[in-house]
Amino acid sequence: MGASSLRLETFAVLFAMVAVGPAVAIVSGDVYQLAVFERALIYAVAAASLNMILGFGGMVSFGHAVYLGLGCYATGVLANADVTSAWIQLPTVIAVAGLAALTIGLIVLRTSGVYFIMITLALAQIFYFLAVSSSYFGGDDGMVIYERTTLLEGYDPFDSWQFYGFVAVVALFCILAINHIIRSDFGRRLVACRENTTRATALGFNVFAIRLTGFVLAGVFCGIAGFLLANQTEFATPGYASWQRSGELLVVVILGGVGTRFGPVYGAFAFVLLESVLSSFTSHWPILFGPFLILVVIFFHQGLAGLVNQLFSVRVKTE
Amino acid sequence: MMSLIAEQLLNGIQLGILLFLIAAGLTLIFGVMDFINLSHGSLFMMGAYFSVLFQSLTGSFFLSIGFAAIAVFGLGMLLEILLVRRLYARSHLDHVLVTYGLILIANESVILIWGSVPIFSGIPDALAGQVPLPFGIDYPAYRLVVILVGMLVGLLLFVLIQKTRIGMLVRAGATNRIMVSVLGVNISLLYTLVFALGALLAGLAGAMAGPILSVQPGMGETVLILSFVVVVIGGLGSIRGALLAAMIVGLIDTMGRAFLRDILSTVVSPQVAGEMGPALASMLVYILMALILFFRPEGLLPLQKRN
Repeated sequence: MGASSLRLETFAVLFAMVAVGPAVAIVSGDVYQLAVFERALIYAVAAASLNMILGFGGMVSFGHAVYLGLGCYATGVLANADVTSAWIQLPTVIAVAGLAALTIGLIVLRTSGVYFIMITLALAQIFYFLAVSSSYFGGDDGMVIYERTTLLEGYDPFDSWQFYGFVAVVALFCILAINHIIRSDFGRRLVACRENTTRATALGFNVFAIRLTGFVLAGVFCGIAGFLLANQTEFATPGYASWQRSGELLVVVILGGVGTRFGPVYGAFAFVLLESVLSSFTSHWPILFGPFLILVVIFFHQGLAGLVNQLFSVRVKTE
Repeated sequence: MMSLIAEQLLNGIQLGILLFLIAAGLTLIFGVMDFINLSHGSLFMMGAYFSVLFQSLTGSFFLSIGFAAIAVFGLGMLLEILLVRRLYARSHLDHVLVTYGLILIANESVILIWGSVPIFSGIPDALAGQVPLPFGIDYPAYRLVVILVGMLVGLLLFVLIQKTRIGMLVRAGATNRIMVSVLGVNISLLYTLVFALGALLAGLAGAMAGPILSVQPGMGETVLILSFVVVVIGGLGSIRGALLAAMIVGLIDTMGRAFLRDILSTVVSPQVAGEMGPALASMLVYILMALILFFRPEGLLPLQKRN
């Protein structure tokens, strides 16, 4: 794939990502459709952060939703204490998620393989049970968040269009930032550590530090996704940090194409739209989604990104 | 107070036994096939539902347990032949995703067939009472039977693995898979049998747990995560490690839930203890796991692997 088609894909994907929601809302005349696409954007950020360590760092984290939960609760607690300014909320969320990822990373990065999968799961469960049994945070029932994040004078967070704009801008920024990290020198080192640890060490890389940095960065971006989710649902529940949610994030990454730059975006949109379409047919939609997932993993390993790549490379050839 | 502690100790052992039955299958499947099976908890759930089904069909509780275990054995065999064997060559991530899909299917199927309301699986009259034990403890007869049956099955499993030809192949397969297949063993049949055996143990545990837990969709997941903790603490692939870890996890979880709050309230105010106790109790096994893996990343009794 040439550089021009790469830039074309980047532009097309990012534009489509934020534009498709408003287009659907205008055509259908239903502003509430925006909420579905806000969800897709939030999932895209969370999945992109997971893809950074899973696809490029080779770390299969089965507890990534913990940062989603943390970001959500941190935002909710601040908002309910009447601290609604984004300039305070965002740094707090970044600090909380980053600190959690640093602590978890220091423990889990000592292990690898199956142990890594299991211990990320176990540590995420610790937070999940903390949220479930803490009456201060609403326990099992979750916590209603009464205020959305405020930004500037004149921004009304409860206006559907303005709020969509806010989510879209933050999501766009996060996805661009993650892509920038992946393409940077650091991103290449991350891949080197995945491909051949011994060789990376021999080249003088501090493999542990590189992995830990990637792990913390991924946690921070997922925390920001949690910040958006808290605003979007106006609710924080332990369920956001449950292992099922971590599994869902893995599913989104795989569906989109693991280790590709825009796979998480495709995966998130496909997942959220599929979920909302299927659940409008039947409340038993997992019985359709389960076989679909299995078929995707077995036969369609490149994910949606592989499909899009083929599409673009075909176009370049015909030009 | 003493009898309360003794009773909770027995409860802990009983949970440990159930966890061992599930974890033994999980660790066998991992040790021999290098396969992570998230849907193992769903097999546990199917055991519980099948037992309810067979109870209404046969009218006998004891028959229903046996039939349920056999049915799950068949289900496991089918699953291995149709799906799982295609995945051995794939990455662990693929195992996780496919079996995650299986969990979705299992839970929704159960909801479609039996509804999402918990079903209470009855205890037969013969086992409904309490049994007087030494030291003046009265303990529910059914739970005692679960402990005894679990120990018996555990013993049978050890005999099977240590003394029979199949067990020898299983041990050999866990140590060096390629060598076993090179020596002319029908490895795919062995894999099917190991997977089905794991399913049987999980199904049996589920059928026996039916009257203790409530039979409901998603009941497998809680147990699954605990069993994974057991398998990882014990050392992946190691059955002896699974036994040791199952007992540790069963006892710590049960004792934590029963006594942590009272212990804490001697240190902090009752209000804080009431808040912290249950939270800390449910986190205890995970903290234990993190600690053990921090000091012994391979688990307590790791398997000697040769490749």
